[in-house]
Amino acid sequence: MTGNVLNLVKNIPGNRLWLVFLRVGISSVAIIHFAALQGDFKDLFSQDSFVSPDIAEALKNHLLPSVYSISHLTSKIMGIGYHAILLTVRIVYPLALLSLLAGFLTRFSALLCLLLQLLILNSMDLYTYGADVFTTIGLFYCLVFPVGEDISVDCLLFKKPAITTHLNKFLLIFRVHVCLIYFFSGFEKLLGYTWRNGESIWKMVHAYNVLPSVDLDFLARTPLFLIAGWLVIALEMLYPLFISITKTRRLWLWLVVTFHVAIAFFMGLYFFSAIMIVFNLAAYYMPYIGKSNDEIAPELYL
Amino acid sequence: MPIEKPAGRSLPAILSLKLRKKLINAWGIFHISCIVLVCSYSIYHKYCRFYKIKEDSLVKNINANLLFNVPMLYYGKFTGTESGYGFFAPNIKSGGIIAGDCDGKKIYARFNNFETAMRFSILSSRVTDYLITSIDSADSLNTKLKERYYNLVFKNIAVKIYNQNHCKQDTLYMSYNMITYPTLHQYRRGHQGYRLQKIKEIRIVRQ
Repeated sequence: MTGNVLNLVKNIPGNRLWLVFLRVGISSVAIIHFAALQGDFKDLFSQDSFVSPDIAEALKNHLLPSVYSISHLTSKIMGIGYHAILLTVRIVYPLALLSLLAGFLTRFSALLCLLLQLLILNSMDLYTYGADVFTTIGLFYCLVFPVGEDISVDCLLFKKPAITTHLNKFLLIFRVHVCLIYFFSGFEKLLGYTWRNGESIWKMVHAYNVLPSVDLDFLARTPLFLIAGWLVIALEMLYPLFISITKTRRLWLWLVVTFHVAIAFFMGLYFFSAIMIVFNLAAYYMPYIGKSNDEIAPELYL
Repeated sequence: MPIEKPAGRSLPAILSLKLRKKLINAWGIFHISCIVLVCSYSIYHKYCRFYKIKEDSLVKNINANLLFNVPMLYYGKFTGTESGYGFFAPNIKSGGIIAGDCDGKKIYARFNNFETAMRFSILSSRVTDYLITSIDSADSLNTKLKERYYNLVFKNIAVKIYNQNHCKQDTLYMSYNMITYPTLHQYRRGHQGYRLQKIKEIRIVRQ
């Protein structure tokens, strides 16, 4: 069984494998992320939550609906209240993600996931953070790119030939987006003097450290925090350059992955890190599987 | 770039392929341009806010006309490109703790898992951010409205914590505290340990 799956993966060209990885990676992380909220779902979304839905509604983006605004409408028209709408979203969203994961009606599933994710985010606007934005980005690309062409239920059911055109263009767009994310993230840090003098890393180690047993105070008199601040800026700002150079690509990729693993364990941003690792591997690792650098490089240019 | 063409493709199919290619090219350029523009403005906006510089009216107008319109806002929302990606920049926000006194002991919000605790800390950071900004900013109508809104949010959180901890007292004091750590510079000069700086307190009375 495992051998069959491995053979299946090996037979997919690198320029299609990254799409499968993106679909599976994003949907898996999003499912686990949503599951992680279930223990306190009531405290975040119900009428009895920390910020009740009617109060949260005032800050929501009025371009998009929220669970509260939908329920306001449905209760008037059909008598369906807030809890029924919330329960529907709570059931349908993970099912849509599972469907995307399996590649069943992939585009429709991706669209449904994206709409529901935005609905959920708009209903908890005060609690959203980076991981949510990157999940939106991932789901959007799952909708636009042909991510359901390989290793999917669609592939088994409909047996249509895989789309093999424009794949490198999709990869290029995705790569440029990932590069811009890192470049601008590093650039914004460069503008803040606290990143340049080590104070930000020091503050992060104290204010966002989820491993209290790791105490780095004894290093305060060393230039470690200053160097770490500049390393983060350099790693992010130089990402587009070194990830594009064949000789440094692998090194930079593993540096960035290590950086995200450190963020996950030190700061507890597990889902943010997981999504960024999925993005990096999809963009710069998967397209090269089974190929030498020289083989893939010319295909990347339009 | 080599484009793989399945054998036996008809003329309309080839035309459709060319149209698709043009469409993808156009969308790709548009999409990447949007990201660059949004990120560039985000950097400029944050820079001005951080260093308390007045934004250039021309840049502000270009942003308002080019990016801050309904179609672009929708596009940004659906693609995740509505805001920049400078998390924890240019400065790391201060965190806050919401704590109350009940039956002689300190009470806090309770969670069953780490992810919710983290999301709650994001809410706390937003309240901290607002409270700090409102102290600095002018006494505008917008600020007053926001102040009333965040008061309401804070009271809501306080009531929830009160109920979560099954308080028996009729009156509860709930405070919002900012956690301040000594800076690296201060630490080197001998300042150690964090302190909680109370920046807001409310009283809740059970009726």
